Amino acid sequence: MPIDRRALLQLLSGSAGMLAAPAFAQGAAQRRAGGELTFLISSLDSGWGLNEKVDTYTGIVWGQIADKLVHVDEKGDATPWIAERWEENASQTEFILHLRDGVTFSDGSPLNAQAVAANIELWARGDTSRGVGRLGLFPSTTYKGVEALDDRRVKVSFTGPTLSFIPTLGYHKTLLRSVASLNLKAEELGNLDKQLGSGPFVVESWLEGDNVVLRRRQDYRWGPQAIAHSGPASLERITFKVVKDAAIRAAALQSGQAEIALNIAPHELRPLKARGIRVVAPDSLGFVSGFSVNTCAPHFDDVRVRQALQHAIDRQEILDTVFTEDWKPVTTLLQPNVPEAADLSALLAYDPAKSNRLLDEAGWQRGADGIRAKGADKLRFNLFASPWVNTSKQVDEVIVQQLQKVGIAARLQVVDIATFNARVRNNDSVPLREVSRSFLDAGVVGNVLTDADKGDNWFKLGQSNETLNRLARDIAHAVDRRARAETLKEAQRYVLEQGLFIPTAQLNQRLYVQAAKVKGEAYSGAGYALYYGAWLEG
Amino acid sequence: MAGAGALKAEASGGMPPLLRRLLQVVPVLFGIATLNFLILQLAPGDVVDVLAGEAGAATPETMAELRRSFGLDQPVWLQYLRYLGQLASLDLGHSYRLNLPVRELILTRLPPTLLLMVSALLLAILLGSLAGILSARRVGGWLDTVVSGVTLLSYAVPTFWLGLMAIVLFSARLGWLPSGGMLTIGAGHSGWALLRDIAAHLVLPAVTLSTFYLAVYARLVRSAMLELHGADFIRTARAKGAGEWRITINHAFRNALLPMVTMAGYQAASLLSGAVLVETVFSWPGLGRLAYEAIRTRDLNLLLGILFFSSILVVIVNIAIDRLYGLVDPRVAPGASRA
Repeated sequence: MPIDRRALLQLLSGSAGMLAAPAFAQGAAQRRAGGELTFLISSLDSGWGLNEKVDTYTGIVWGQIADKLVHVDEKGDATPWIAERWEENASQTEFILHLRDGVTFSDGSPLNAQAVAANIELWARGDTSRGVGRLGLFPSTTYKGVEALDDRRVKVSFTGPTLSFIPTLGYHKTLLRSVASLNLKAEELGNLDKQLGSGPFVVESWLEGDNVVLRRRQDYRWGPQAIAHSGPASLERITFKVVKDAAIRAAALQSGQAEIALNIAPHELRPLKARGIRVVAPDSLGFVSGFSVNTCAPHFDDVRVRQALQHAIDRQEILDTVFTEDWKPVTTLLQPNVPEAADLSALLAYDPAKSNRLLDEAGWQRGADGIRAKGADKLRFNLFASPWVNTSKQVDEVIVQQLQKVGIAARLQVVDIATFNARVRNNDSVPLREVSRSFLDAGVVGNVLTDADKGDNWFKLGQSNETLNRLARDIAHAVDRRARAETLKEAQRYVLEQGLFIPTAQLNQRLYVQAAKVKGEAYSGAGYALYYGAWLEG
Repeated sequence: MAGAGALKAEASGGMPPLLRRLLQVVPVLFGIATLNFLILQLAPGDVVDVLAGEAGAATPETMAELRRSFGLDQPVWLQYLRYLGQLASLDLGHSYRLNLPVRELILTRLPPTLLLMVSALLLAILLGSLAGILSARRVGGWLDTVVSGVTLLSYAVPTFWLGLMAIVLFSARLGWLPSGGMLTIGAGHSGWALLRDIAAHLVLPAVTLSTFYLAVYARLVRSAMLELHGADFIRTARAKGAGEWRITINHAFRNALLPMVTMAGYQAASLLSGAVLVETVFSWPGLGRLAYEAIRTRDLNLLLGILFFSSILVVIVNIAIDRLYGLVDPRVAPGASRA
């Protein structure tokens, strides 16, 4: 199999890393070994099981315990980690991962091709007999199989082009765990003592749903190439502690009881900054916060209603009311750092006059109560706030008021995850479903447009829309990222023009509020912190 | 009420009262288990809805397979029978979400909750009694007015708000006490250092949780003692020349203990539910927080396990209260002769 241009780029990036050595040496001079970091987090409630059990919070802890095959940066570019290089065929259906030598899990067992193959197999297929679903973002629909060619080479095959495979290996849920950990019984999978990774930290102690204490692994020497550090981590210990209330996390941070607190309410950030506390909002690849529109919901099959909604939302007011300068305005349905994101701000312009006109044309007349109606039918619906996004309720409160101005009555419902999924998923009476989804490769956009190849069918159009069918097909079959980018931009334009997705604000699901003395941390493309290279100043 | 139960058991003769009480517990626990199960069936969504998340893993096929794996696809009556079977064999199963045995999860969280509950209850009883006694001794005086005002306030103030304010003042501003947790994680303390560390962490949550109950006890003791104020045996004691404090403590307060003990029995149950808020605010690693998460995530096995375990705890406390009646007032002790 010939090494293609991308593989060559990977090799070159390795050389570039060596060229950057002087900068690294300078950083090393300032570096201080030792020290303990206390990280306050709002939840560790999803447990320590496999695949989808890793959530937005436990994913941060896992990032320190377990390694990944590649590191993906905020632009979606993959760089070597446990896979020191990789080959891919021209049709993007076969990949050979070359693994770093001498890597071991914390129990000393080797992280070899057999272990990587076992991990990939479980990501792709899951094991429902033990309650383990497949990994959502893994390209399972085209997955054919995995094979350990020898101790350090793994071959992964797909039935169709799968451009997203390599970036997905840097996802916060594609963690490499020891084979013994993968094979635990269902009632043992959540035992963190038995869940072993090969990361720069090992578990010293933990209490389910409450805390995890990590200790530096002394023999670690296989960190991601993208991080300017080698050998064991500098920090001696990291303590993750659950503090549910954001105000208490902020208070503990201010009083010096912790170095980092995750997700403080936006309105509390300014006073913290004034006290010298740093707010880090790492760029995160994925969709922006917004609503996918169910065209099967009453009245939302009419494109004029959808477009009216698109222009009735004043996104600047949302930014000004709920957020701070750490949130950037949205320009499309993708996060601003996604390389394929288009600038389609004009399609998202706040224009209530246009919304009113569109609704008038669609036959929706304002009633005495200000709500538009068509005969006895009123233009009103339930709007469910996302249980996954802290700021969702506040944003939706603003949106409800904005929609009211053009005569649309939305009733805000705040529910928990189970109720949200039970009431919103597959419920055609709910027109808007709030989305907060990260990805590492924009090819995911193709999976949500239709129901082809088990697509997510966000807009409930199935395969009835020829334009969406073509776009989904072209994205799925793409073998070149640059050519695919053009299709993705066309898809964004079409989806926004048709009012099939209503963006609201940039998605900052992980906001790290931290003391100024924390230095050298890095973030993955999905905004997950890596403290392998971090140290404490002073 | 619990005391009345003990009286009837004694009166009926035959079976020892404790055994009789334990046998009465069986249908009670069966009823509780059934009620728990049925109520949880009414909640929208299930654990698979939670596990599916929103990352595109939730294909109908995967969700159906997971439901089959957890037995959630079976008819409700079958699930119920399976659940009862599990309980009968004292097997609480494992948490589908956390992938850990339910019994292990509960036993890890039980000691912190018990420590918090007992500390709060003791604080409430001691300080509440003291406040009630002082109030009753000088009815209408300045002390009575102050105690009444403070108890009314602590009765009315929401526990979570009080907890938040206590953290802001004593932890963030003054830095006297830690803001949360049960101990300094990773400090590796042992012996006295560990006890001191736990005590420092316990102060704020225990005081916060006790405030509401403290107010209840203060008012209860005050009114009970006032009722006894003009009683014959108090007048007799006074006529015999007993000092006012002796009368207050040995005669009046001892008689006021009976309603207090009854109240403590009731509060053992309500403290458990009140602990949810306090445990959340103070990041106390107790059973209440675990139960709340189990509800939120529809972790049926775990929640049923916690509810069942809590029910047993409350039943045990009530049996203990029954026995305590005898100590507080020999007239209601099993075997006591009645007029």
